[in-house]
Amino acid sequence: MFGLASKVVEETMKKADKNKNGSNLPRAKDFKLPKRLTKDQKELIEATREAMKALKEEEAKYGKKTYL
Amino acid sequence: MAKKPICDTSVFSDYADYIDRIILSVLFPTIVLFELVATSLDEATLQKYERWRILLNKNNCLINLTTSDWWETSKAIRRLYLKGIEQPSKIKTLRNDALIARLAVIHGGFVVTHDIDDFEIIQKVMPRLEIISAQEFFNY
Repeated sequence: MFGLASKVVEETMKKADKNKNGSNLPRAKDFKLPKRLTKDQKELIEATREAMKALKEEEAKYGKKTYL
Repeated sequence: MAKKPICDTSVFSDYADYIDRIILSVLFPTIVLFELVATSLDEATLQKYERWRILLNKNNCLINLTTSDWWETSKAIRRLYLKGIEQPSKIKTLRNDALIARLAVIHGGFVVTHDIDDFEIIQKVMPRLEIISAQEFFNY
């Protein structure tokens, strides 16, 4: 009698577990840059590259950072 | 509308070469910028972060905590203490992560992190929180 119900519960639990670990979420490759970028967007991309380069250089110089 | 990623602070250095490709799609909590700036050491780095901050703001990428966000997050942390889910010393280290988690929930985003275990603890008191490991997000 409870066979179908328990199967539904089991499937729901499996689905919840799957969603919980992020398997349903988009990946970095799913986010594309627009074909046409505004001046502000281009500047932001460039500033991001510069900031990330500085971060990597600091970590190479002083070691890995610890965040709270 | 697709959910937007929120990168936890520790993700930035390991995936520094990928961040510029997704920067227009991410939600960027000011608390993450705070952590990056507060731990920077060189003056040149600070100047680069300053330009980055201005442009993040100009492109409406930055998201901030409201009074209500602080209130709800403090109650979530309180629930962790009361439920005795973790040691108080551990919960203390989760405060900034909980604020990032709150922003993800309230803005319909998801957290990209190396510290899945930490965010799973927060998930116990913020059930709508969605998380993904940085490795899975960037390398899938």
